[in-house]
Amino acid sequence: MQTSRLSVGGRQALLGITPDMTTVGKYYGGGFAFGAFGGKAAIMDMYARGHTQS
Amino acid sequence: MAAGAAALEHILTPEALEKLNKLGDYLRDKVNADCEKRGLGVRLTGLGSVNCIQGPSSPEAKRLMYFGLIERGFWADQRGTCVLNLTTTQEDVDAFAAGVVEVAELVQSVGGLV
Repeated sequence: MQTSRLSVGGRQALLGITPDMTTVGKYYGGGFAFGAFGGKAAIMDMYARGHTQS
Repeated sequence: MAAGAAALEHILTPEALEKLNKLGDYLRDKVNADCEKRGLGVRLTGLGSVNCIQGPSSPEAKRLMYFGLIERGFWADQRGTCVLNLTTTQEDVDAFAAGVVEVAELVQSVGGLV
């Protein structure tokens, strides 16, 4: 959450990491309570079966 | 949500974000160099624009640090978290660095540093 602000792709981009899942929030909501998460289709399918988009 | 999307597209550009994080790196390096030079047991740790004041040895010392900074016009939190935002300027950062050193001297003088 906090490290998403460290570059356009977050800390993970700076370290060259492509994670299985990632979370963002806080400032992304422009001041409102906000959070989002996403990840690889195989993982997201388990959570939102039929709702993943490519 | 629309405000956040608009801000991401027009305000939080890659250049603005890089500049902000470089400012944070500068702040951390400056405070740490100044405190080391003065033999003060205070340091900033963190990455880019997200940093935290380390050193006050007790909850009371942390509060002293916190109120010392408030008195000088700077609002970190009592834990010591100090995070820069897109409106933060070079002048703000230099003034904050000076404030941290000044308050660190104060906290040290009453035995409040590790």
